[in-house]
Amino acid sequence: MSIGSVPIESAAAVNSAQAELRSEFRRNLVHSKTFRVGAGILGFWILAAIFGNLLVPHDPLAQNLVAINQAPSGSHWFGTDQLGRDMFARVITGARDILIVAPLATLIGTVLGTALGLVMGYFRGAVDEVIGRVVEAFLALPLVVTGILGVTALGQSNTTLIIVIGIVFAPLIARTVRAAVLLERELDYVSAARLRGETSRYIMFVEILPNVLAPIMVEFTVRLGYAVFTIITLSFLGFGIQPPSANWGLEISTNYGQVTAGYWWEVLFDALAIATLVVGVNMIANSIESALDSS
Amino acid sequence: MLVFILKRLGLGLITLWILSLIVFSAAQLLPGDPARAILGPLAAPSAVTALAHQLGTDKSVLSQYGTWIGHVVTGNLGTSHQYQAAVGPLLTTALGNSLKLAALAFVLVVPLGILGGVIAALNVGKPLDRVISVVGLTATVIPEVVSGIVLILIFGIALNVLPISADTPPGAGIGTQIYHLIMPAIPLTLILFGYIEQMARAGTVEALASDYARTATLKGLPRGVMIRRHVLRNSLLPTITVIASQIGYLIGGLVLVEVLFHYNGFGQLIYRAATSKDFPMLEAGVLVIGAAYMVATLIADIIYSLLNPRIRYRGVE
Repeated sequence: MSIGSVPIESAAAVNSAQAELRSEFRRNLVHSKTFRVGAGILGFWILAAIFGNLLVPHDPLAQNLVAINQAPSGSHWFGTDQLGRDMFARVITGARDILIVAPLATLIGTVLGTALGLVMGYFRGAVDEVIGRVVEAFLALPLVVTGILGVTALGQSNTTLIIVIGIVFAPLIARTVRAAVLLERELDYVSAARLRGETSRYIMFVEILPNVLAPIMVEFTVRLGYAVFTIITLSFLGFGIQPPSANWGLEISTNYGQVTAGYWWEVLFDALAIATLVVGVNMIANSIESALDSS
Repeated sequence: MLVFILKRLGLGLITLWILSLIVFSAAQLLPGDPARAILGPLAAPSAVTALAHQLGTDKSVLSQYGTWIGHVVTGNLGTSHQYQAAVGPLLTTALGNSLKLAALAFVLVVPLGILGGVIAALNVGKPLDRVISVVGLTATVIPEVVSGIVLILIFGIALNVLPISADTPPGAGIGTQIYHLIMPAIPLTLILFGYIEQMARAGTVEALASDYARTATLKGLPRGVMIRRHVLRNSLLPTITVIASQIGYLIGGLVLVEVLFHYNGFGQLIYRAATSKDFPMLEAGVLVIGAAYMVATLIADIIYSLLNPRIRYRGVE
């Protein structure tokens, strides 16, 4: 399509239309009950991770060998574990590492994936084919298996976990971004930029990127949920966050042998805490997706 | 159709080859000498050198990859460091066990998921639809650790009606095996339920709104017949693809569930290979997972195109 045949809207009009959309999105989001509940849950665990140490009645790391495996009581609300550590303190502070690793891993994956997706969608052809094959190879493996493989090869640490999950997320996010870019690159503003003689890099990052932010934002929040899921699973398997820091997945795996002795409190509260966090994060992701759809 | 399948197979092989490169590089990143890792810190240096020579780890990286991939292509998956036995038979046994568990999970989840989705679609916007969707979404995002632990605490410990270990003595009948596998199958079922239910719901909603459904209703076909004959057939198309694409997830889920319930399956094997740094086993396992995923998606595409003549000849996207 030639540029002359369509009226070119003034930059100001386009900007104000975009601002209108953004504020409508924010309104939809804030009025969504799902979003409020999800944000409340996530907010609670963030606050607990930061200030939990100061609020809980016991030190989560303090061992008390004369009070091991105690059932929940007035002094130990969630009981104690096999080293006599207070389970309530450990559950409340148990999200800290997850809440550091998950967002950073997702951020790395989103940045890498967005760059890859922009390049694949914009250049298409051979570049797209080659990267697409590599992406496909990564997609053939379940996240947990790639995680195990990566952590085994690179050694266990929070940094490894962030890098491995980030690298696994990148191709998944790239696929979504690529699809969005393929649609955008056919639009008039891209042809106009090309006719103006802008560089590919400028067109990809300055022209196209702002217009594909919506799917990227949805991907980020959805992946954040998966990251939490994966970190907990890997920690349970012993490939994730390492002791002595309190961490729900790890805690379940250390105390799991105790359930046959009837010490249910040493795993149940951790399990329930995990459930609330993943549901909270996913509620936020779902409400962002539907707020974008309707605005 | 044949061209389509061949093209897909070719692309699948390229992907597997890339996967083999990724897996092999991961093994090379591992710090330390495999021979030293197997023999332990107290072994004599001469023994370590001899084992390194026997394992081939003293050769160059490129020739190691060549040897390895050459063996894999001819069906020789190598020798497990950990068990000192051929990887192939170990994998086959474990795969067989996992297949039983996966089959049980699928037998439970496919009808439940489709039923849930169709019921939700027939009640679009009503409370029942919301309830099914919320249950499905929640079940899908909760890690297997959580559902597994809660199930063990309720049915294994408090009520004591189901065994908490999935392994059965050799030669146990199929009834005993299912009895032991029910609890491990449920966490997998819960995760898959949401995906299948959502696809079945979306497919049914779309089919119900279609012209042919309206025509069927207008020509006086009873609602039940219209749903069975016109709606279900079309609405299940996307669901089939989703079911096949979940094979990849399923293998990941198996790792956790098999470790949690002490089941000697494929997931447990991968887990043990990783914890004991048994790379021949881990590499072979990962390649098998990749191949399984390729085959599953290929089969899904073939079924999909057979059921839907509209895309039969369109080839690869």
